[in-house]
Amino acid sequence: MSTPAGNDPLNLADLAEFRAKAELAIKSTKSLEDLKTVRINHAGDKSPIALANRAIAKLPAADKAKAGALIGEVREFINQLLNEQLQILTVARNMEIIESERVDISLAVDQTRSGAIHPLTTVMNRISDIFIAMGYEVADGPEAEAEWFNFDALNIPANHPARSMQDTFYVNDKNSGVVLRTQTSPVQIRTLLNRELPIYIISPGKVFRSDELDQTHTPVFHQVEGLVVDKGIGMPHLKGTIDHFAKTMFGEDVKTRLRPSYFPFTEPSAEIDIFFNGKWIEWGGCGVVNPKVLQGVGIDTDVYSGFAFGMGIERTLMFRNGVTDMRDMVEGDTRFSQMFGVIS
Amino acid sequence: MKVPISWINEFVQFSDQLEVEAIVSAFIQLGFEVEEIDYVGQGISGPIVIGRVTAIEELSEFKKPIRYCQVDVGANNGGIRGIVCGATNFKVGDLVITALPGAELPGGFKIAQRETYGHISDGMICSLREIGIGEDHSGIFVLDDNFEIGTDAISTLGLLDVVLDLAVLPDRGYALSIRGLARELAIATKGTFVDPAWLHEAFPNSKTGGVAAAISAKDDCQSLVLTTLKNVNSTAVTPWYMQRRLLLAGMRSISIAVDITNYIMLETGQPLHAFDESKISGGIEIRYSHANEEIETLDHVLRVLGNNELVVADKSKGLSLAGIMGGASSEVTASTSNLIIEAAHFSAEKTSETARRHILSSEASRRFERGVDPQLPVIASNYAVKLLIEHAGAEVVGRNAVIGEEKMQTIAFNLDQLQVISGINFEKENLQRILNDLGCQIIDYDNFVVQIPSWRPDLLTTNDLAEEVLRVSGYDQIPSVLIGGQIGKGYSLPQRLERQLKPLLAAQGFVEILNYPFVSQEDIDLTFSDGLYTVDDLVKIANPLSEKEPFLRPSLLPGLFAAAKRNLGRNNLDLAVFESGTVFTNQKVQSASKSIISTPPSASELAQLDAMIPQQQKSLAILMIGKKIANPALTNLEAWQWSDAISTGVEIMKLLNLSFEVVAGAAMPWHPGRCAEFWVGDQLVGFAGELHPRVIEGFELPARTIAIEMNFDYLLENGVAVVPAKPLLMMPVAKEDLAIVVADSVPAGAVLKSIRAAGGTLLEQAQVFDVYKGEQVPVGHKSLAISLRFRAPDRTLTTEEVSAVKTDILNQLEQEFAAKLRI
Repeated sequence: MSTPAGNDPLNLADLAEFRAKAELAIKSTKSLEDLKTVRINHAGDKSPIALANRAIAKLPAADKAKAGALIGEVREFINQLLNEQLQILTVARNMEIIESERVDISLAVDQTRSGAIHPLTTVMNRISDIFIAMGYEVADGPEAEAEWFNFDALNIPANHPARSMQDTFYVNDKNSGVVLRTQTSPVQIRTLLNRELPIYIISPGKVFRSDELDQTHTPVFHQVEGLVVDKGIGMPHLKGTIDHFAKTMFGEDVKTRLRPSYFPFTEPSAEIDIFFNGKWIEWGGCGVVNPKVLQGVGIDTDVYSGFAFGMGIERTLMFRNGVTDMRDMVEGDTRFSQMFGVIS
Repeated sequence: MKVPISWINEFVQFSDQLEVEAIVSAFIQLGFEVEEIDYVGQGISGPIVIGRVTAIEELSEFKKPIRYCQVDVGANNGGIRGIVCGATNFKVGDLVITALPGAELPGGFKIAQRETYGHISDGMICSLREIGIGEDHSGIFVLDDNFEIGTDAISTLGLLDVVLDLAVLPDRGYALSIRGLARELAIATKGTFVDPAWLHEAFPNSKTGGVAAAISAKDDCQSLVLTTLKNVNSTAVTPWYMQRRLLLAGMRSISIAVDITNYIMLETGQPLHAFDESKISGGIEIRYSHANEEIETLDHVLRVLGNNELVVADKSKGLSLAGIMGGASSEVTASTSNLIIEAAHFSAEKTSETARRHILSSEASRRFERGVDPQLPVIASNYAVKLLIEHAGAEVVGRNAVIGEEKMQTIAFNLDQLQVISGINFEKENLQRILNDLGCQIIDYDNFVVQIPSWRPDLLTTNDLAEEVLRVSGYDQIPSVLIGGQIGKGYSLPQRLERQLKPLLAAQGFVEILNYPFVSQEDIDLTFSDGLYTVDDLVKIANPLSEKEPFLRPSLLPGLFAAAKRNLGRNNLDLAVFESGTVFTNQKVQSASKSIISTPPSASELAQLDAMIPQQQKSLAILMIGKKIANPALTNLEAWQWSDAISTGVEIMKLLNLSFEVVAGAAMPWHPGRCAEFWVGDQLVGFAGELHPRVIEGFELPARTIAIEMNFDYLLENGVAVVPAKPLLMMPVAKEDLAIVVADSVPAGAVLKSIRAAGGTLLEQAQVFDVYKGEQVPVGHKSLAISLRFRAPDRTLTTEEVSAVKTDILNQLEQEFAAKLRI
């Protein structure tokens, strides 16, 4: 085999050999490192083809063009092969790296902290969202409340059973005039006194009644109440609102039923039943706001009327989500909240 | 109220016999919850007959007394049968209920001829419970003499019935009676109602006489009717029909006089009381009590009365708590021969007040509290006289009555308002029919003025009548109209911030829990042993559920500690929990007296009410225990440490976009060397850090437990409604590091604060990246390595500019902290 080095004249016949050797060498490479060496040997400055190219200068002028074309063709061939091989080897190298980095992803599954929002909060948030979407606002008020707001202003007379020490927590002493609110309704009174008419609000929050904790009772629980006071408001608007609310909470198939009932602050009054999971369930109470309540805060009942409704959040969570023991909601066991994540 | 359907049906005439289901749904539609349906005698089948005991042989060789009886059950049923019985409360000649072989008693108990105690027992003589009426199983039941031997007991004694337990709403006193419920059922089922009260309206024409009646407590007693009777046979057996109905209604049979008063109360709704005339002196007066007056009630409890309670008294003493319970001193007994029947009308308010004061609820008080028809005292007295004559051989001595003036309530029914309330356009004729059925009269058709019947004191306004009209028409007739699209402003800023923050806490792995607000003195003392909260600062519950926990929490932490302990006890060992809730402290301007608030309340009255209530604020607290990742299977997991509490606090402040400062703090319950205070301006808004070892030990928490508590109200209410944006700087950054030596006691935070002040507008960021103590640093000192980033908004900073600022910074640090540049 002749070498192209030195001052050997350009032998165009050697070009075919350069070409064949380069092709074999390139195709035999197994790694990017091999390819680098092969590139130097077959396409580098001192490669036979480069030397051949340089030798063109020594050719007679008439032969230069032809020789240039032939050499150029071979160089292009070699470079193309090199690039193709580079692609192939790069892909192979990347595959190898990626394969070597393969992990057992299932190990990461148990390495998180599972945060959660208490489902009572998310149920109240859901309810708030429904009513915000209908143009209501969310009102709140103090949990330790003046008896006047909790009872008197709501037309609950001084000797009403609800006012007994068996039902109501009194602050300091029975005659202090301050109680832990037994319902979120005092917020309605504060709203009626503080806001301009018309009023469309809901008030979710904590309420207190002196029941011992057991599977179905808790002395501290949550309610949401709604209040609308506007011109010409009556039972039909109440019914429409409850229907919409129930459908949004429990699905389009839910049925609602109003049954006559009694609350001092509404007249007419009704219990709200919903037909859910195959049976009628008592969900809450409602009614047309007793004009006495509105008059008590200085609202002209010849012009304005209203409706109000209220339901227990714990109870809603129990039948909606199938919670069977009230104690799970109040004992702070993290597993309970974690069941729900940030929704309910 | 327990109501046998057969009793109601006595006063309602239906065109067709109604199924139980139809009656139940009628009551539900009218607002009476049906709490229980009791099919009395279900499963009973004959032969069950009335028999007479003709002979008793006492068998004494057994452990308990056993009788072998001969019972004549009539020729058609085999004449005299031998029956073994374990009860001993009957005698030869008594009429008894006899179940013969082949019979089946309620509960599936089959009667057969069988050999027992050495005899063939050819049937069974029954107790009341065995035939399904009531719960009495103390002996076999002996009938009065008005029955014939051999007759079928099931039909004769009415052993099959249906009893509904109806929940009566507090404003419907009239419905605590067969009379009231029968009227309701007639309305709902289009039956014809026969008012039982009217049956006794004019009977008998009693002459004046007997014990004198007087009312001095006129505000709370409208009427008093006293009927005196003599020669009463107090041991007469209460007739079976009456016993049966009392038993089905859930009452026991006591004596003829008491049974008659109870029976009339159940049927009409008028509570009556029977006194033994020989045990009282002088006339009877309804008066107010004197303070500390004593009455022993029928339940043998000595009641000490307050001033101004309502009592029925004779000339020497109080006899009974009016409208609530009779007294022991004048109780009717088997030897009572002369009776006084008291029928009165007591006010709902007074009865309720007294019943509540003595925590004593009775059948009578339940009715008076809810309102009794003021026309009933005379009617019920007539009825009692009739029954006492009939069943106890009584003779009327005479009657004395004080009858108050009857007030006729009328309501101008506003039909426009009815239309608004109901959404229904009622025809006047239709309304009139409904109102008439309820007992109302239209006294002015044009203006639709409605006269309210005496038994409906709850009907006072158009709204009350609207409810009645809707109830009778059916609430399902009300159209459903959705109003929406009001102009609302959405959530308030604090609401928005809270709703956005909580999911972010959850995303960081914190679990929300909700604790009760009740705390014990012990836990407060343990948490705040530096005396931050003394008893005077705390809000106390007058009637706590647990005497141990009478206070409302001034902080969320004790509740979180308790919840953590519960979790640890359940093997939830690694915890990151948070709570947002109200904390309470005393306002100290408590007004002790309830003041009268005007209608509508004045601004100053409202301010006074607000001044009464305790100070309340929403708090946010977080507690972190153990490992950051709760996975006991993984080793080498990082544990929570003091800095995590502080950095979580910082993240909260940043998420809420608040400008704040963090400085070292030392209040309880925090570790004095590992506690951060968070300040917004000059307001201390919270703490974060490790808990004091004493608190950790006291609450039995794991070592290194960390926590945060923030004044959530303050954070939420001081949020930025609109965040002003600044342009992002795009010129290149110049980075410089700085190593300075300062005394150990100098907080890095103070150094950074000083650097930021001295660095001016060109200093973009300053951060400590290393703290070094040891060789090359003097004892009692430390070296702080700080990285600085400089950037100008409009140009690339030159080396000279940066050096100049750096020099300013170093000068400031030297001046303020005697800091030396570390070479």
